[in-house]
Amino acid sequence: MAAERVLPVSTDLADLLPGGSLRRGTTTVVSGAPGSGAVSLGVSLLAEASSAGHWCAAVGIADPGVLAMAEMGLDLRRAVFVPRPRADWADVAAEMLDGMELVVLRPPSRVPHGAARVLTARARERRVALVVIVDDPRHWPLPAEVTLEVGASSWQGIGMGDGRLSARRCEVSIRGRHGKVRERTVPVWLPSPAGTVRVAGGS
Amino acid sequence: MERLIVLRCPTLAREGQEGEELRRFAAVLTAVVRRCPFVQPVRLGLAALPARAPSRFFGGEQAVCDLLAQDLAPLLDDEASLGAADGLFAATLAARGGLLVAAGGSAEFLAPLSMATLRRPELATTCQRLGVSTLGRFARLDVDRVIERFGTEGVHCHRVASGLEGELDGLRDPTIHARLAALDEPPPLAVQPTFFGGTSLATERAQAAAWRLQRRFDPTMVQVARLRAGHDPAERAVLVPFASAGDLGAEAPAPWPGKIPAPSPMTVLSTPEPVELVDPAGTPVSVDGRGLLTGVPGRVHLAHSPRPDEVAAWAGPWPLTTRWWGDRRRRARLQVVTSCGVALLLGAEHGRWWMLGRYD
Repeated sequence: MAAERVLPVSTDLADLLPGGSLRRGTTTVVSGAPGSGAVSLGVSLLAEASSAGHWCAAVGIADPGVLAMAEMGLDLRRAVFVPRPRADWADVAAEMLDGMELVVLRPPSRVPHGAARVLTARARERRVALVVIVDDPRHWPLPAEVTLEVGASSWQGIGMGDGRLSARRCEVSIRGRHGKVRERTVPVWLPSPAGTVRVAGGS
Repeated sequence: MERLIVLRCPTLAREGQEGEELRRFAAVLTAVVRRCPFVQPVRLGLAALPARAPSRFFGGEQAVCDLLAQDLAPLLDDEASLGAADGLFAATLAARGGLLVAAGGSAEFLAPLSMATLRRPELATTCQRLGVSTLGRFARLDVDRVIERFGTEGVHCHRVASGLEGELDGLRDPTIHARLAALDEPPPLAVQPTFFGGTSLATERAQAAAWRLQRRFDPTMVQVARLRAGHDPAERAVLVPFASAGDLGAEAPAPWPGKIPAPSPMTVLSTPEPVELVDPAGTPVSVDGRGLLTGVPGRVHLAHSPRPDEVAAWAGPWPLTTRWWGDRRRRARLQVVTSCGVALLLGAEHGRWWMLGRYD
């Protein structure tokens, strides 16, 4: 029955999560400033599960780059979007937690304590994997199962007037609660030169 | 200021439900392009063409207008109205009256026209209260007073009313090219009976949640994605309301090859934002006639940013292979990485730069 408790995550990203997968009913926080790659990382956590037929909702990603999401492996046939929930974002996210198996939420600003508690509880009750993308880890006021903080990044393939954007290498800091996760920083391709999002091995 | 002939099709100016107007407008452009290859759509029912070359060829602006009116008569329920003037704003108004405004005569032509032609109701109301009801009287206001009272937007309108600037912001519909181009794109890929398909319990629950949300909030709130052909990330992926997606879900949405290879931007602005791109000395950088940058990008200033960012790297510009009615337009794409490591996709269009997406 163990398989039912988790949702699959690409083996390329397994190193970022305890047990190498997303546990149903838990909250994962991905943080990073706009343009840091945090949205790419958050969305790629859902890709494998969507390909396996699990339903995903993206709430509050205002102008989603749907093509980029498809490139990162998200199965668009299993994804619904609520790009602009406006003031109702917490209600909308709660409704989605009632029906989907994975929800990625991008709140407009710091999440009030009450809303975070309601969403965490709803995710646990409904056994949904909730991924919250925030600009700053402090914008999610509760301890998360795992917090992935996207830090310094550098683009490759682009020069002073030549080449093109081909790959981005980021430092991702991993923290978990109750010491279940070893705190560390790992390099992650967001995406790699081959187009996949993966933990950079070796070098 | 460029001398333009403008063509108006009043019956096609407003979009109906079936998109019939857009298809008929495309037919109008196809007819015009046989005579004048450089015609550009401005917005639905409105197109402009540079006047000089066709006038020389056909024997004057009046001859061009007569010829086009004759060509278009079988395509339209009522007559197209054509006019010419310096600058797009004056030429559009000249077309309303079927007038040929003499070269250099735009300011004089505009002077008696109503402030409403600027399409800025608040500005018009405030000016009315000041006793300024025509473009001519507005143009005579001191520019310092205008900037004090109405800001840079007011100054732009003031310059347009004075005939110093040819083009009024907002006159062009930025989506018109993409919408016309979409007309003859391949149809959506395969079709399956319903978006959600299948009957598993998980699928039923997902579908129920989507319906609940739509009922509770707004029928267009929940959307699903669809991929198709196009140049740009914005053209190549669209979101459609889940409610209307019943028979739209793509069986196997395979990305179509685009102009700019992957990775695509993770944020694609539904409304592009204007940006300033300047060289290290502060001189604006643009795309020249050969599709090359006129300078080295040094700083990029985003619309909502308090100050510009340094440009650390850039690639492009890639000219867009536009359709026949866009031949003369210099559309291009540029990737820029700022010194903070943020990568942006910029587009050059309408003589300025726009932020189209960000690699979030």
